[in-house]
Amino acid sequence: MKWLTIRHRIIAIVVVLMVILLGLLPVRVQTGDDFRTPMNGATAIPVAPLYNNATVTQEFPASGKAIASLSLQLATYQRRNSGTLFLTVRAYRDAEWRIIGEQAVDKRELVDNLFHVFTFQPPLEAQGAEQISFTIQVDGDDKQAISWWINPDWQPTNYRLLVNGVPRGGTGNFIVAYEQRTGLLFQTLPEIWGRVSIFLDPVWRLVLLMSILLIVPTSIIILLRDP
Amino acid sequence: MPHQRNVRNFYLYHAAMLRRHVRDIATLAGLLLIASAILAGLAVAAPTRAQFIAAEQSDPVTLHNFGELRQEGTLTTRRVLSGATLTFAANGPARYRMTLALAADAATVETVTIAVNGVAVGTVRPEPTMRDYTFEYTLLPAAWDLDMRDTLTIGFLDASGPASSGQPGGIWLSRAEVGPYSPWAMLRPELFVPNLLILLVSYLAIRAIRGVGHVQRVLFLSLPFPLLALGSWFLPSATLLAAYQPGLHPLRALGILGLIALVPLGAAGARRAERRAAQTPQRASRRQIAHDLALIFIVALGFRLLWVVLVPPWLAPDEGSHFAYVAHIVENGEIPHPPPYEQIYPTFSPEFGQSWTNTLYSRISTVGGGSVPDLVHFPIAYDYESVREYKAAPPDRYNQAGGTATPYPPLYYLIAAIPYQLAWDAPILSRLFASRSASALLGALSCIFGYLMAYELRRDRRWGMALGLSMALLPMYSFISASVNNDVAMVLSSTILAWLVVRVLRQPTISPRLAAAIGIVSGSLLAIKPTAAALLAVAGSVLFWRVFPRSRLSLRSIWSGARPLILAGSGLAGIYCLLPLYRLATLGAAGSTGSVEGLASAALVQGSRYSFLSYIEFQQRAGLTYFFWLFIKTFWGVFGWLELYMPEDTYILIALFYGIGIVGLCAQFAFHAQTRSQLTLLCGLIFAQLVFMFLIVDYFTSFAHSGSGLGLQGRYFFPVLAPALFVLFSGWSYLCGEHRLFLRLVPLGMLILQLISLATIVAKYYGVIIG
Repeated sequence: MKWLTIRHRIIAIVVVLMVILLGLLPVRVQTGDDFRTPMNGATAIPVAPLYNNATVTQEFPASGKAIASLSLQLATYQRRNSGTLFLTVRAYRDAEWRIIGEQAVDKRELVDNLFHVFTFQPPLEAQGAEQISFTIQVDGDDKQAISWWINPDWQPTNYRLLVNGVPRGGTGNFIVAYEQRTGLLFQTLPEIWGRVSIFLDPVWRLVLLMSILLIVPTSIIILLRDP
Repeated sequence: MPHQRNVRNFYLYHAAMLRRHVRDIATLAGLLLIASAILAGLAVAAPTRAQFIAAEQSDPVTLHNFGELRQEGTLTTRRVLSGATLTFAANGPARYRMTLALAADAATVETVTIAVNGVAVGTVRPEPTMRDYTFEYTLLPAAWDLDMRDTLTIGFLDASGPASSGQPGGIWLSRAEVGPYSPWAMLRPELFVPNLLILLVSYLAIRAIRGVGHVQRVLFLSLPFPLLALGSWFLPSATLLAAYQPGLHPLRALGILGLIALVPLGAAGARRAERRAAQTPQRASRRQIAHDLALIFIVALGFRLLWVVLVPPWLAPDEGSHFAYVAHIVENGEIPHPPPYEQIYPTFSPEFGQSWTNTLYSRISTVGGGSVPDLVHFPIAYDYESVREYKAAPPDRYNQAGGTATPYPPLYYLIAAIPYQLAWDAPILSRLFASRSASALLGALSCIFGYLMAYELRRDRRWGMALGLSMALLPMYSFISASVNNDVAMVLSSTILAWLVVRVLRQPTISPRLAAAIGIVSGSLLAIKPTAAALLAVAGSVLFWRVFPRSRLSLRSIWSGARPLILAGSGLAGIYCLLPLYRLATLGAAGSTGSVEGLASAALVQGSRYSFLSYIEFQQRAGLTYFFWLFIKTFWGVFGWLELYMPEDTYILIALFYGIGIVGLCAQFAFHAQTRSQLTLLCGLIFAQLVFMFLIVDYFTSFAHSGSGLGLQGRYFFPVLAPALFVLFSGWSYLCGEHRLFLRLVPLGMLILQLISLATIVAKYYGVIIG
C-alpha cells in the first residue's frame, strides 16, 4: 500500500498540524468605522463653560453595531474641579430616542484638554447606521465649570450639536471606537467571510468558496506525491 | 650528516606544508583585505550629526511650511504650521535620535504627531514652557523608499493652532538636533559577524573548487567576489539592522540569522552537488507529467481566483484602462483606436465612472484620488448591495477607446472579451470579475509552461514542480494575473517561447512543428504586447545558431537549415501581421503616447536630447533604493495601485534569497560545465529583457527626450519570470548540494509568501487583521 508509508503519515500529520495552526491564528475584525472629529486646520474652541446641570448633546450616525468607547476632549480651565459629569448615550429607534448607556465620572479625574475615554463593557448596541446621540451633563457652580472642545467649522449631514437643547454650529471633538471582534481564525470565519465578500454577488461568493476548496485538497495531494 | 639531513628534511617538510597551504593563506589574506575595505567603508560613512537653530540660518536643513520667527528675550522660535517639515541630509543608514525643543501657546491644546520619513515616531503635547522632546528612528538600508535614503524629514502632523502665520496660538520650535543613537563602530558585532560569515562562505567555496582548471578559477574569482564584496556589506547590514528593529520578535530575528547561517552549509554542499548532478534522474512518463501539470494548473487557478475576488474592484495597476479596452470591444463593437473618431464618447464610460465612485476607489487609493485617502479600509456602514448590483444601460457603456491601453495590440483583449460578453447582462462588477477570470486562466496556463521549461532543462519532475508551483504562488504574479491586464498573456506567451527555445537547444534536431510553434508564439507575443520583443531576438539567435550548417556548405545543408527559419518566420508573420492588418483596416492612424511604439516614434520625431551618459547618472542617483524597489518590491509583491506593501522584513528575506542564489549561480557557472549552456541561455533571455526595458523602453522612448524615466516596474520583467526563478533556484540548489529537499522547500516558501500577501490584502481593504 503505497499510500500508507511512514513518510505519507508524517506528511499527513504535518499538514493537519499546519491547518490547525492556521486556524488558531489570532484575528481582529473591524465591526465599525472608528470616527474622530477632523480638525482640517481649524482652531478648536470651548463650546461654553458647563456647570449647573448644563447639557451638551452631539448627534451622529453610527457606522458600527457595537460602540466600545467614546472619548471627549474636555477642558477643566487648568484646575481640578469637584462634582460629576454624567454621560448619557441614546439611540434613535422606532421613532424615539432610547437610552442605551449611561456613565458618570468624577470631574477630578478629568485632565485639562485631553480626551477622556468612556469605555463600555459590554459594548453599546448601536445596530449599524442608526442615529446615535450622547449628552454630557455637568453639575456644580461656575467655579467648578468644565468645557468641551469643538470644531466650529465642521458639521456634516446627520451631525448636530445642541447646547442646552439649542442647536449650534460645529461638532464636538470626540472619538468613537467600535468593538473589534477578536478571536481565533476558525472562530471568526463568519465575520471574515462577511467582510471579504462585500463586493461579491452569490455567484462570485461561490467562486471564492470553490477556489478555497480547490486549493486545499490539491495542495495536500502535491505534498503527498513524490515526483 | 644525519643532523644536517634532519634539518633539511624539517625545512623541506615545512616548505611543502607552506606550499600546500599557500593558496589558503593567500585566500584568507585576500578575504581579510576585502573585510578591511568593507569595514573602512562603513567607518568612513559615519551617520549625520546636524542641528537646526531657529535663530540661525542653517544651510543643510530645508524648512517647509514653517511660519514667522518670534523673539522672546533671548529665545528665538519659529512657528510650526500644520504639515510643517524639517529635512536634514542623512549620511547613511543608522539609528538616529532626534531632539526637538518645542513650546505651545496657552490656547493650543492639540497633540502633535511627529513623523520621520512618513513614519509616526511619537506624539507630543507641547507645554507653554520650552521643552526638549526626543524621538528615535532607524533609517534602514532596505526600507528606503525613493529619496528616503539620504534624508531625514521630520514632519509635524495635525499641528493645532492657526493654519497660517500671524494668528495667535500655535506651536513654536527653537531647536532641532539629529544625531546617531549609537556610534557606527567598525567592530559593531551585528555587522561584523555576518560579514565574517559571508567571508567564511567565500573561503569554503574556494576550498571546494580544488582540482578545477585555472580558467574556471579565474572566472570564479572575477565574478562572485565583487558580488560577495557588495553582498557582504548590503545583505547582512540590511538584515541585521532590520533584525535589530525595536519590537521585532526575537524568533524572527533568529530566523533571519538562521537563514544567513544556511549559507556556509550550502557552500559545503556544493561539492556534493557535483556527485548528485551526475546521477541522471529517471525519465518520467507522459502520464506522470500530465498529472503534475494538472495539479499545478489547479493550484495556480485556485489561488488566482482567490485574488480575482479578493482584490477590490479597480485596485490593480491600469486595470481601468485595460477593462475599458475590453468593454470597448464588446460594447462599441470595434477595437479601440487613436483619433480621429467618428463619434465622440467619454474616455471612460459613465457606467465605469459611476462604478469607480460607488466602489470608493478614490477614497481608498492614493492613486485614484491624487491625495491622501480618507478611508483606512472599506467602511462597515455602506450600501454594498447597490454597488454589487449596479449596471447601466448600453448607451452609458460606450467609451472612446481603451484609455492609456488604446495603442496596445488586441490579442489579449479579444480573449478577455469572451467572458465579458458572456456576462454582458450582469452588473459591471461581475463583468470585471469575469474578465479577471480570463486573466487567471492564462496566468495558470503559464505555470504549466514554467514546469515544462524546467523539466526540459533538468529532466527531473521535481524541478518542474518547483518552478511551476513557484510561478503559481509568487504573490506579485498571482496578483497581476488575477487582474485585467495584457501583461498576463504576454507572460504566458513569453514563457511558452522560453520553453520552446530550451527545446531547440536540447533537441538533437529541430522538427518543423517546433519551428512553426516558435514562429506562432513569437507572433502572438507581438500581437499581445511588444515589450517582450527582446525575447524574440534571443529565440531567433538560438534558432539560427542551431540550424547553421556545421559542415561544408551545400544546397542541401542550407535548405535543411533554412527550412525551420522559414517556418518560424511564417508563423510569426501569420499571427502578427494579420491582427494589425485587421486593426488598420478598421481603425485609423496609430500614434498615441503610452505605448512603446508611440513613444518610440515620438522620440524619433523629437530627436534625442538627453545622452545615455546622463541616463546612467540618473540611474545612479536613484541608487540601490530604486533597484531594491524595482527588482524586489514590485517584482515580488506590491499590491493595489502599487501602494500596498508586504511587511518590510519579507523583502529583506527576498533580498537575501537573491543574494545567495546569485552567488550559487556564479559558482555553478564556474565549476559545473554540464549546466553552463542552459544557464547561459536563460541568463541571455534575462539579460535581453533587462537591456530592452532599460535601453529601449526607459531610455530611448522616455528619458532621451524627456529627461525622466518611463516608470519601470518589476512586473515589466515578468516575461523572463520562469528563466529568472530557474537560475535563482539553480544557484541555491547547487549550494545545497542538489539536495531534493530544497526543491520541496521552495514552493513552501512561496506558499508562505502567498499567505502573507493575502493577509496584507484583507487587512488593508477589509479591516481583517490576521496574526
